[in-house]
Amino acid sequence: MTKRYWTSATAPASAAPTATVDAVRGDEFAPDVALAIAELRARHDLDSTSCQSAGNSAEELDRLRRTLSDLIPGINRRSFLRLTGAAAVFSLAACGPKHPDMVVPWSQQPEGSILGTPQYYSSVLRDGGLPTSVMVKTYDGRPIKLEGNPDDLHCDGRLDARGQAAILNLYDPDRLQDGPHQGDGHALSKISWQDLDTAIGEALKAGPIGLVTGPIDSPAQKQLLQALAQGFGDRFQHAVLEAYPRHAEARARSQLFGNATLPVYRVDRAAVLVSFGDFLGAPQQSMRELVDFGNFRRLRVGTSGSELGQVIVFEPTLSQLGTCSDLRVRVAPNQLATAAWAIAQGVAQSLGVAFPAAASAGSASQRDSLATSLRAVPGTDNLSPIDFAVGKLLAARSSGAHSLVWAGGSNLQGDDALALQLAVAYLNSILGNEGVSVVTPAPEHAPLVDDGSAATVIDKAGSGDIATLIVWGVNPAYLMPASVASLSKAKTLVVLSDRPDETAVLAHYVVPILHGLESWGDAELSPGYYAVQQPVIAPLWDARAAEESLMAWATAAGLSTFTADKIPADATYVSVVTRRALWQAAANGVITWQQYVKGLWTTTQYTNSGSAADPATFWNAALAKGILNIPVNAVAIQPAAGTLELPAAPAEAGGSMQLVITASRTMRDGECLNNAWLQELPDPVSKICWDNYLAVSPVDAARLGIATNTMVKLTVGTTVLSIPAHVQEGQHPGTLELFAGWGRTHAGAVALLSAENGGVSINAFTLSALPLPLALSASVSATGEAYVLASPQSHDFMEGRPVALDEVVGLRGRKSKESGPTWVAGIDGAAGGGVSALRTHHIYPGHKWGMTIDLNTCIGCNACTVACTAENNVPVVGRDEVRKNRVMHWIRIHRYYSGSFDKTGDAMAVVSEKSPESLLDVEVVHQPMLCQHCDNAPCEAVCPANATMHNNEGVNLQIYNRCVGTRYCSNNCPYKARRFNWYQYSAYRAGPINSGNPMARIAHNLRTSGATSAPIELSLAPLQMQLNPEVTVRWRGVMEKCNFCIQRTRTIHDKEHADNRRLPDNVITTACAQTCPTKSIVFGDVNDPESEVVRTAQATGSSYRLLDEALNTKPAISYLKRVRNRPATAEEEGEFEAPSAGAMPAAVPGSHGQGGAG
Amino acid sequence: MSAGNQTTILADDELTPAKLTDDVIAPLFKLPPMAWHGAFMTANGFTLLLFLAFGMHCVEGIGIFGINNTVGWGNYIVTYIFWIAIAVAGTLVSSILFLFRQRWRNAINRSTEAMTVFAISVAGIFPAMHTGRPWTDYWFMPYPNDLSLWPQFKSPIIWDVFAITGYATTSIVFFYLGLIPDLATVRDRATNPIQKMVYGALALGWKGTASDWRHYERSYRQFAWLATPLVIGMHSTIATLVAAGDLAGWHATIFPPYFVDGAIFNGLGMALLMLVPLRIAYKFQRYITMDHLERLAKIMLVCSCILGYIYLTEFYCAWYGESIYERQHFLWYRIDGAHAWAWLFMIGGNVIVPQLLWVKSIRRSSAGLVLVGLCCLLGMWFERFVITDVSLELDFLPANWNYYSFSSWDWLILSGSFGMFFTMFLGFIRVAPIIAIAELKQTLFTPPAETKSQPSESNRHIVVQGANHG
Repeated sequence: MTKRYWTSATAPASAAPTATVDAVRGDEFAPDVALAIAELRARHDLDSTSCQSAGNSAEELDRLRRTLSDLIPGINRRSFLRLTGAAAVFSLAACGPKHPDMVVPWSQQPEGSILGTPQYYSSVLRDGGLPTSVMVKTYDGRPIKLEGNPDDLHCDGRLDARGQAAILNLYDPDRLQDGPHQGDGHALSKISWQDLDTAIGEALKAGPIGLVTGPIDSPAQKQLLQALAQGFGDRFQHAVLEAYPRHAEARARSQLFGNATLPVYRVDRAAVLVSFGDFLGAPQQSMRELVDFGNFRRLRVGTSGSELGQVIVFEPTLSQLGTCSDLRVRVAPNQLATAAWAIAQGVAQSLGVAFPAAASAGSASQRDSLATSLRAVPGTDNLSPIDFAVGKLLAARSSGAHSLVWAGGSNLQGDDALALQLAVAYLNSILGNEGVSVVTPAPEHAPLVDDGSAATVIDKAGSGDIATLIVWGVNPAYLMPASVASLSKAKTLVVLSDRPDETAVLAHYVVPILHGLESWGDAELSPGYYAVQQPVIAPLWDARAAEESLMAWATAAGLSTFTADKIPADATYVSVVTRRALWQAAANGVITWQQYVKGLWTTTQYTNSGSAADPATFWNAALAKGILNIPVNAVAIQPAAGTLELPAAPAEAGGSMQLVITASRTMRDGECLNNAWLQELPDPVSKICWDNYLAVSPVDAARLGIATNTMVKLTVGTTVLSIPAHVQEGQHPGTLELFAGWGRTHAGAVALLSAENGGVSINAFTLSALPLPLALSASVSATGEAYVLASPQSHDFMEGRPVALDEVVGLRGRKSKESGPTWVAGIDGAAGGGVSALRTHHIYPGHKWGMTIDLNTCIGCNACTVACTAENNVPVVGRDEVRKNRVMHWIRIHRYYSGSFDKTGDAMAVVSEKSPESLLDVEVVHQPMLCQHCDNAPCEAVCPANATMHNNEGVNLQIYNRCVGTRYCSNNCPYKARRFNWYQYSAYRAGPINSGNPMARIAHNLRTSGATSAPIELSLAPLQMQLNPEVTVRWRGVMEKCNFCIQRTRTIHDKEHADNRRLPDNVITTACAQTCPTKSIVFGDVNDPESEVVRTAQATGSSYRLLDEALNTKPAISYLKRVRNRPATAEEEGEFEAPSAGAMPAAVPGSHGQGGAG
Repeated sequence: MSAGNQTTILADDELTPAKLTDDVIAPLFKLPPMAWHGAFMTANGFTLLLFLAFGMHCVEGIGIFGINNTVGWGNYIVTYIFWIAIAVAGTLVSSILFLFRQRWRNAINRSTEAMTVFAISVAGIFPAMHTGRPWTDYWFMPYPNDLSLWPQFKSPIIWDVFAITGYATTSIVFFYLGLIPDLATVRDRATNPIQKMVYGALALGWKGTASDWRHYERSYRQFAWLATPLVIGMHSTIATLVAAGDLAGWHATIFPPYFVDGAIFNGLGMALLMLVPLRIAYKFQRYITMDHLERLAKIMLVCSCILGYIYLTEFYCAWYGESIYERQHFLWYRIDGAHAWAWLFMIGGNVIVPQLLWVKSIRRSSAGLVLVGLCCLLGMWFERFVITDVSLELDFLPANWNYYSFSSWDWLILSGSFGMFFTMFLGFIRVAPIIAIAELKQTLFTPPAETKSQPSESNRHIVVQGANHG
């Protein structure tokens, strides 16, 4: 029986004292009261009604009352009346409509939880596509921030931009909120879980079953699929669908090695990377590639000189890797294979390896003409980049090191890219990279990937050969628009999706699934590295794990594999936001997905691990650590002799232009298109956000009269698209670039902002079937219509200013002829601060926080920006506000192009004219920009309200509630690190009211879906659950900016106080430094000469502080110069004096040394 | 007669003290012409739009204007400096010329003082409104509070707050002080009892006794002494507000004299634009003569030449200083960048067009003066735009470069500021004498000290005992 205190006793309280006795009738009392009443009845031999006033004398009643009050322990008559009175008041207060479940007390304190202290849980995340092991920071059961799992060697505790933004996907209001739906092709209507399971069970019994999923890397999911295949037998067909399948790669390896398993690339084991396509921004990229690339690119200064991995890129468009390359070679898309085979020929000849006859016969002349047509490597004696690459690959091999040749871009996987993939596999094989930098797993450790059968399965569903088609976690209607016809003809189409997406609107049944952070699971991150996925929050809405749905339907269809004992439903299982009762597998006699995963881990995984502990301990340890490593051997790869058949090289596209479709570097396959953080994230290369665009080469733009921010007409076959153009520096003439991952119509309100409200969002998948071809023949023409693309950066060149500096590796340590500005290397790292004479008045006796940012390893990936956004409650402002240059990011990455037009160091320089040709071969540098925390901060002196000031740890703080909003500080900040709340951005999801406020739309969605009748209050729900409770949500009219994550650095005081010792370095770090995948950002205490931040600043002797020479601002941030691992040009040589013997850079300059070549 | 006192206003038989009083006061007691009504209603309309923009700003946020993260100050600040500069010229006429014994200023000092007070009223609202949270502006003032938090006196904004409040207070008191004898005259002439009562109250019981005059003259002189350093200091402070910033285009020591000179130029341009139509509409050609206007024009010409010199100095310093940031700003962006047209407006309106004033016929033509005055206002507004915004647009790090453009609300703010100014000015000329009667009588009917002994035939001076007896 439910306990109800006071409720019944209060009803007649106004009629006390009679009421007191009257109330005795009720049984709904606390046990002690009930006991007292029973005792009273027994003592006076009364039946249950005889305590009433009627029929009793006044004396009798009085006597009874007194006895009763004596019997009730601790309550006498007066206090009883007082309490009933109070209860009457409170019960009146409870009148009116109420949400009985809205307040949930900590009736049971979860184990280990301390109120207000965050808890960390390990889990697995797949929002970015590939699985990543993460640590989830939760406050009182509410996940607020994701970090990489530090125990995971792949991510090293780091996370990329999409991983950081995944927390917003969890709280996306556009997720399906109210359980399963059935559709009739027009509208969706609600259906109960029970009816759904019965209906689909019947459908599954009826005939052949098709299941289309994304790549499957999870051992538990693999086992589930095997069980389904066994249970349903031949009736069951499973196909994997990927937006960017690696077909050509698999085919090439199959042809060459007889093994189609896709390898894992380890760039950190190489000294030279020769890449065709984007290693960093490609959809295949996981955390491991980023972390490895950081290690590969980090400058190592030894006694014999400076070393760093060399990146040579052959590509038609400027990719993210292209921006990080040492030598970038522009090649037309259809000549990539020729270039690769030209290198292969050179390498094979030098190594004396037999060159495949098919390759040498076909296009030797093409290779020669290509080699001569490419721009010679600058700084060499007219050396072709092909020969340069050959030389570097051979040099690495002869020095005992390894190299890596790679081709993995989203458009290098079609049939026409087979020749390229063959050359790459052949090169890696003859260079001895197989097994070292190219690791092939055993098939059972490789994920199930797209083999091209998904289209067949869908077609079968359309033709009726498959009766029931289940689509789980992928979106064929969006990725393969041609499949819509088949999908809508399917007899029964069941879609397991977290939102009513493009495929779901065609479905007969739409079944909501859980977000990764709500669900159980596991993953095999790479061969032998397993991770456990555990939920960190109760499901927000009425949904269930996709696997549980599959098991429930299999059970309903008569399979006994997944049955379990029925356990009565537990009413306490309610969704977090709506307080609606949740689906419970146990109540329906189905094994829960949690039990299933745990079952696998406590049997198979436990046995394989050879753990000495008992299974329960093993499981708990796996949950705590999140990672389990069971070493497996890589498969040895041997070339299969004489099987190489090289397809004919793609024909030259005659006259028209070549359109390359690249995976959006932010959106990848468009799954997270409704994520406002990602929408507002500028592309690493073009710096454009919120819109899809067509990148055009500067030469073509000049020829065709196309300007940035105008609409163009793109014609591909019979399709004509209207799309804004962006003139992209570095793009090969004759090449166009369009990004896939945009143009979703059913992703949610934020994604719709691109389609509605004058935005442009083009679905590139409509142009070609999967996999995307190397290039499409296309033409483009200017329309003259204006369309302003939103970009937080409006100028791309340094114009001779010493802003983001670079140096050539061979010239490091040489003395500069230029006496010019002297760059002070390193941070004044001596204890107590105050090294330079000018700084003596700034003394920081305890900690002094500082940062180094290595421009050499920064790849512009924006992970820092999203991490900061999540950590510091930075609002999204929307497309129009970005156009107005009001983006709020506290840390952003400036991207500068440099090239022949630069007149570095020329003080008379005015901004130079740049010919389109001079913009083709630009070099790029990424420069993260945030508050520099100047010791002599220009902002502090001008604030009239003392709203910005230094603390005694060298941090420049912003005190929001003192800020009046004069914006003088921002005007006076030479770095423009400050951000102003022009509107009440914190109330907006993606932009203010006057720029097409999506809030109203979200409220509308909620109201129509029946989630709430009070849309205004709940319109942001549950987005605000993500807010970090340690950080103030800023109001409009105040300035805000980076404060070195003060909420993180302050905790060090508590810890130091508790431990009574100085905390070691790196215990506390900022969100950006924590997540930086390449470890480009290092944060720490510069008062500690042993700290990593000081050692990093001093290690390479090339650090500088931005604008310090001009303004004496004394920033707390040191930048390390970008180092270019290529031959120095004559002009660059000319800036330095001739080398003297032994003039290598000192590895460690003085604490405030003068290292750094000017 | 010294040059400073030369005037062509003749106190002949026709012009008696009584006639002067009648002429000046007459408009107060009759319905104004339709032109006045039209102008007043138009100005009112713009004022309403101004307050509509203020309201929208408070409801929606300052984001409705065109400013952005790179250009944090825009129209509010530009227009604020523009109006505060106009105030400066009024004080020049009322107190600086007074201290220099330039008694010809008596014909125009009332209108220029009014200009000062109204310009400062308009200007005062703008910096108060331009903050992100205008309702917290009182934090700029040092007042005892729970948090023991005082303004930061290092900040030029705080200097600015004190400079403006001090200057505004002084100007308003000075203006009112000068009005008192004339208010008493209006009180004495008024027939309507309500007018009599109101003007009587405003005249503070002025009787025109010798002791009244002694106190009046002494305090007037003292306020003139007070206002002169205040006005120069005030505008120098505003110059420092910019010069204390570290931007190329802001960070220059020449700014205080530069700003004061520009302000005088700007204010005189506005004064010409007001006086030329005013004297024609009110048929005051006799009192506000071409001679007066020519003198103002001559001062403008000097100021314009100084401005030209200062503009050149900026470029020279940028070239000589070898800082790439300053060089690119001045030698490229300012004269050849996206907003070079603003710089051309500034040079054209402030330096080139005013050179017309070397020509006497232009100096003495209403149309010529109005043209120069308009160009001056345009040029001076763009000068502040160039200094404030063009400097901000392209600052140190090229990736931060960005442009500033008006939103539709910015146009309301700019046009509304003129509306508010003219509302106050047109209202003022309706209710108060627009020429300082008492002071003008002193000039006309009191022989100057050095000519007292030799009255000329054509210049018969009448000694009067008290202005209000005329």
